Amino acid sequence: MEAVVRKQRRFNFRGSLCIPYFVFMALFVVFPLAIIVYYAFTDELGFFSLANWATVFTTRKNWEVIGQTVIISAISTIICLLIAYPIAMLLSNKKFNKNKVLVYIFLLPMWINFVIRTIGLKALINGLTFALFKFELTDKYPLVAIVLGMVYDYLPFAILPLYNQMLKMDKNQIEAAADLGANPFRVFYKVIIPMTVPGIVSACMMTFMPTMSSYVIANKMSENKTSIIGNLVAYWFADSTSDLRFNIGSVISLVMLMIIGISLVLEKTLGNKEETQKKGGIW
Amino acid sequence: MDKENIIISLQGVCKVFDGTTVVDNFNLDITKGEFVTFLGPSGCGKTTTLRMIAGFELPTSGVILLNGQDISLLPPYKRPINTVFQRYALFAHLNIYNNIAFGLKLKKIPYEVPGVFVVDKEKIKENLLAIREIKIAAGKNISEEQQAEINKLLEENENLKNNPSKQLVKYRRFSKAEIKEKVERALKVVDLEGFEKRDISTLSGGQQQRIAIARAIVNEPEILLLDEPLGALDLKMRKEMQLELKAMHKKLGITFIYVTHDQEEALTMSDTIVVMNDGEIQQVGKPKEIYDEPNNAFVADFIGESNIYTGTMAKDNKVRFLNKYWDADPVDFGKFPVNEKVDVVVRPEDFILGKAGSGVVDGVVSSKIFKGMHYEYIINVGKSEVIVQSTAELDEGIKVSLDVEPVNIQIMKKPFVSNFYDGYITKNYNVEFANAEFEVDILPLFPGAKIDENDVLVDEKGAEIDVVDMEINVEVPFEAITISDDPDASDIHGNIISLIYLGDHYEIIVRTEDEEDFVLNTPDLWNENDEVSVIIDKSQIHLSRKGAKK
Repeated sequence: MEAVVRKQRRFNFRGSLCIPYFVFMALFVVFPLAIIVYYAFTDELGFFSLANWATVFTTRKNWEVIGQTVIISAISTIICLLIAYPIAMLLSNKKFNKNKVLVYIFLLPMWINFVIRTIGLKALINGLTFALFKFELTDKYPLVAIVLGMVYDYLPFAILPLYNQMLKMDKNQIEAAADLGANPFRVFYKVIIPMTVPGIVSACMMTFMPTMSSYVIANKMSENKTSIIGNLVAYWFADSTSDLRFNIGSVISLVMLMIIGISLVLEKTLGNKEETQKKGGIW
Repeated sequence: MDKENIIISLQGVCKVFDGTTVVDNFNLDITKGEFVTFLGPSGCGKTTTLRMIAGFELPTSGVILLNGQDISLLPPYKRPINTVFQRYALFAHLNIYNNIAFGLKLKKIPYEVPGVFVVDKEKIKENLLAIREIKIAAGKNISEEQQAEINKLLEENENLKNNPSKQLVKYRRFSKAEIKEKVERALKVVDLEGFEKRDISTLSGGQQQRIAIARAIVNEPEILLLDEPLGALDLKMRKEMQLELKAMHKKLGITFIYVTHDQEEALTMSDTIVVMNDGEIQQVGKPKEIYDEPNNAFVADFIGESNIYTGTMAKDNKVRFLNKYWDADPVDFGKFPVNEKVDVVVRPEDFILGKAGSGVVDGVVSSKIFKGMHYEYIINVGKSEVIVQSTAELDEGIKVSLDVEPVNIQIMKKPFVSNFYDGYITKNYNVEFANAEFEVDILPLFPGAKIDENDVLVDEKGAEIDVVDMEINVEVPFEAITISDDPDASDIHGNIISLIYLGDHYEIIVRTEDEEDFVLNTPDLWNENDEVSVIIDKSQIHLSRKGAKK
């Protein structure tokens, strides 16, 4: 009995290692989130109210921006996937990429500041379209410019999880499929794609989530002509003069959070069958 | 062998990976319905050969004929050959039914549309080609005969164009019901009925292997390739599957090509065994032939237990080994010149034990192991050890005599008794080979030449002969080489890669980092992979000039 009591009283060192994590999470995740929720459900005097939600959802402009954001993010994600998949296949080919140098070449752009990259891209494509067609892309087709910027900035995030997944691919299964009469095209869509589903799902998440919440790209690539959710949030918190600016901004942030939450649930159900796998270690 | 029945024929097939020859000049014909096993130690090229038949690797040179047609460069999906992989390679994202149905769903089956005929375009093309050939052969002056031949062909083509004569052949896919029936039948063959809906991950290793077999045989391939399919199973399971595979082979009548490093597996299952080593075929034959009449010491050592000795041929068809003269098998009479060094193989069960003095040679029983059916004895004869299996029980330490029926003494040509290297002459008129320099007198290579007072090699007239960097052949007899574990003993270091016990000594092959091999004989026991220094007695090194007449 005595031993048991002593054990209970003993200082649990391993457990104590969690404390900084909990403090961090409480300070920087739970607490801010609580503030957002508080603002979203109160009026300017601090009384409970659903009026902010009504205001947000009855404004046509907000619906447009939310819809536009989802569409832009989805298109960017699909384009990223289409470009990243063949690149990842090449990179995971040991004959082609012997010492993994090529992987670093694809990841190198991430070392340059995000804003500088985006501004640089803007200057480049505007220069190109002006020389060829006598207009500036960001001026005439801001949506296309935003998608371009997003694809450019988030492509490495799509390549890495796909590349990781492809390294783990069972080459025997590919040979088995060819052996059973599948031509290279069939081998690809009947065996290689199913084997890389976990990689595809996490590549989608790694691009969809940041494009949903991004602010700089839309801001720079459309020269404030087009808004996505990120710009909307920034407007309410930073530029608006309304008394309700924090309250409305909070509601919009929560809407964005919900969309991301839904996409996470989708990922869980899609990737459920496959073994849970580590995502690319980017951070 | 029946030429008609040959299903697959490998002719002069070689495979080189990054400069290393993995399969060297492989020639083999396999008849329909045969169970052929490629047997050899790992790295002997057996799996590479199988992969070339499957189409995963392309031969560097040589051809592979399937039913007389060259398939050497055909991709795997176009070959009527299926493979059972060592690690099963089942599709993890599909259930068992879909795994087995994978090939069936892709297959296109030709069928004739009754009553519908089409123009035989192939025949027309063939005729046109024939006409062109005649014209090319004739040149400008076409003889009347040739013109007549051309006209005949043209007329035939006209006829073919106007009268559709060829049966229309269309392709269809298997219907769902057909696939279901075939999958069920395949599952029955491998004894896993009712497993259709289950997931691959719920199966044991043995069950997965059966599914892999079912997935291959369901396509009714002309040849089934099996790449060490039982390697990952435990011993009991392996024995069971061996018998089942053999039964399956009988039932299906498909040609099986089986790869294994397990000699017992090969002996149990095969109709024909192909023993391979270092990318070359050592012997092809029925299991009993391979066991009873091994071609060389490697085969004898690899298949079953063997006593292998270096013997010398003597007069009157006798062979000397274990320091005694033995009557050799009459079929070997005249095959070897007297005094030729040969390898002699006697299987442990072929020694006849008797009372001391009654046989050819006497020895002392030094160890005794009970093996269930028989006892295995090690008998010391002089310095040599003889392994003998017998049902009689003998005590350790007693003296016995040994005898062997002449037919049970296998005499084989010694592959070679010297090592050969490419060397060259250095600045100091020494010889360098295997990355080491040796002080060997090079004067015998250049008749009439001598070294003058300035230490320069000159011919009879005193003119300098430029021999520096000249390439020469170096021959080093086995006896000239000894090995030591002292790394400072010589400049040549390597690892022991092979070790064959030859009765009173070991034949050892040492391979250096530069892939030079040194074969030598030693009475001492070493271990495989031991790192050793190779000491060469330079007085026994024999040099000859490249391209010189022999």
